[in-house]
Amino acid sequence: MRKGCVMISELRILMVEDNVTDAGLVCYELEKLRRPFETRRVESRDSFLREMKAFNPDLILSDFTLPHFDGMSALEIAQTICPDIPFIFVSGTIGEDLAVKALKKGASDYILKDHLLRLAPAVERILTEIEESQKKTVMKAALREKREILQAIFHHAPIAICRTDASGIIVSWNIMAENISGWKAEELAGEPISKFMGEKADEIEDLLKITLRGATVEGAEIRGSRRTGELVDLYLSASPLRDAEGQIFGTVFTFIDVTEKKRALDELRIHRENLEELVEEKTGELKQAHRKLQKTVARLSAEVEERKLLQVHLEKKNAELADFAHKVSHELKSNLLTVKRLLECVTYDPDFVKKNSAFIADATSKLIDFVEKTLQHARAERPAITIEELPLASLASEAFESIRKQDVAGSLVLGEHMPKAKGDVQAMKQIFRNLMANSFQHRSNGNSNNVVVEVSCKKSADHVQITYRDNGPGIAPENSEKIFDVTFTTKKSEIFGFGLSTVKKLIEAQGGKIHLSTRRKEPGVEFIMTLPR
Amino acid sequence: MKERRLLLVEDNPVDEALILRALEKDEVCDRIVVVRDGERALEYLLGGESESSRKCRDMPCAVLLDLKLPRINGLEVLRRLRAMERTRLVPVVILTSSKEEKDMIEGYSLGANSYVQKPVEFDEFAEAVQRLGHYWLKVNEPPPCV
Repeated sequence: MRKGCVMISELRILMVEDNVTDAGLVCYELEKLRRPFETRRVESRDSFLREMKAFNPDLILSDFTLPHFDGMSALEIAQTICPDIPFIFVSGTIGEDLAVKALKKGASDYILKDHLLRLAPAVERILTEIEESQKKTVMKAALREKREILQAIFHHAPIAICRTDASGIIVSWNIMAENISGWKAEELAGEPISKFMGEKADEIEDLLKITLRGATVEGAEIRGSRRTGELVDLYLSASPLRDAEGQIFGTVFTFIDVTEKKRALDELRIHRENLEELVEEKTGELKQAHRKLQKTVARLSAEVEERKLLQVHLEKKNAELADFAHKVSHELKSNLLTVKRLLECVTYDPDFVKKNSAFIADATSKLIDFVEKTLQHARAERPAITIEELPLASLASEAFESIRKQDVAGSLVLGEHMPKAKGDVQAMKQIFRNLMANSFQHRSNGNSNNVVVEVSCKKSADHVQITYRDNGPGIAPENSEKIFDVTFTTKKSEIFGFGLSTVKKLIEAQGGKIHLSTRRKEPGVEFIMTLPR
Repeated sequence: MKERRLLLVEDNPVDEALILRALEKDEVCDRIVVVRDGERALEYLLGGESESSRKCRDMPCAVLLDLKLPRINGLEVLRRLRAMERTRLVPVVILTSSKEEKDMIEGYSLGANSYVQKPVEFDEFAEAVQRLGHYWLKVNEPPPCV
């Protein structure tokens, strides 16, 4: 059965009428409808049933009495099959009671055949009614659909929404609002909006007032409490609702729970503060480490400098050593060459050799002497030192006697009191011998060849001082340090000055020191030696 | 005619004797002056407190200069000779036992005219000295006086 749509196409009218003429008259009246229509006529129950199915009419016009059928039955059938199809009786007089009964049974109208003029308007009216109700149904459905969508939006929005009336009483409360607040919609309906905030109601009441005055609140951060009492931070907006005339009839509040976010932000802030603290700490540590590093660098630089100096010193020593070796080689070579040449000369000019034979002896003794002195000097580098008590007076005398030359007058003056000193006997003897040998060799010609040597001693808290003096030409102050150098000599015939170098090594090996005193006024050398006690 | 004179600067008495012997045999030399150290050499040529300054015509034809001398060594003597106008041109023959390359280089750099290493063998030594004497006194022309 067709339902619900406004008929734009042909109107299908089923007539239950046995009289053809009457049917024709009805059709004539129906022309006034100005609608396209199609009619079929039935007389019997079977054909009625058949056409109800096959023809699917939009309207039934039925006579009351038929020879093989009756209108009331048709009406019953129609009501059973399809009660929505309008059923209009078109008949002669049947009496008021029957007419009322028919109408009560579901007929839409009753038109007297005598008054067929009423037919068209009645049909028109009925069809319009149907159309109207169909429209209404459609509209209702559409409206319902819309309302359902709106409800869905309201309730399932991912934001809490609350609607109040003009006095702040909650009218609607969506699911999100329920979730956030802990209050169900039913519990809050009819309550003031402040109810859901619990104790902290004043903020939201202020916002309500503002909104009801017409302002829109965007993004207020307020603190409220859930139903459980748990505190919650809300980010809330509210606006007034106006009707068609612009009058405020209520408000809508939306809010979201930012408690977590706030907590996260707070944590972040704390984190950042901690981080800043940490950074400062680390920066402090870095600075400290940097300072340490700088100190280390400075220290290392100093060490490098030291090493450099050491290297320079070593190089100097190496050069000195090379020089020494060079001079040693020359000394040996020249003496040996002398001997060699003279010996070779024997075959050519024996007289010449005889005349100069002293030179051979001289050269050979020089060689022997040189070797001995070198040995002595080498020994002095690593002398075997035995520390014992030194009989200084007797050592000096013995050395003097062994050095003194027969043809030269000389005398040794010893100090009155010679305190006991500690040292190595052999070393001390050698020291005296070398010093005295120098004194004899460098003696001044003007002193009638009398070499006077003075040895005196005095003691102090931690050492014994031995002073050696002679009456020779002395040593120039500018040479006072060089004289202990093995390659320094003022002797014309020698390139080496072993004597004083050995003396220095020997005294130092005993833990003592020696230096040339430059304060003496009288001519001659003055050596000051010290030995620890 | 200029007197054929040589100055020998030598500290080794044996070498001195050998050189003198060789030169005497050859009879080229009118006079040999021997000094035994660098200081005396400078005194002789440039004049010190004890000697009047040597005049040009009294300069030797050549100086035989040993390097290993006590006090002032041969190279220093040479340097000082070449620094003075009077002795700038006088021929100097280094006669030494040293074979050191650096002595040779320094010697020539300082303006020595010749460098002779004393031969080890006696006969070669004598021959070398004779040849030197002959060359510097007879063959070589000493610088003129300016």
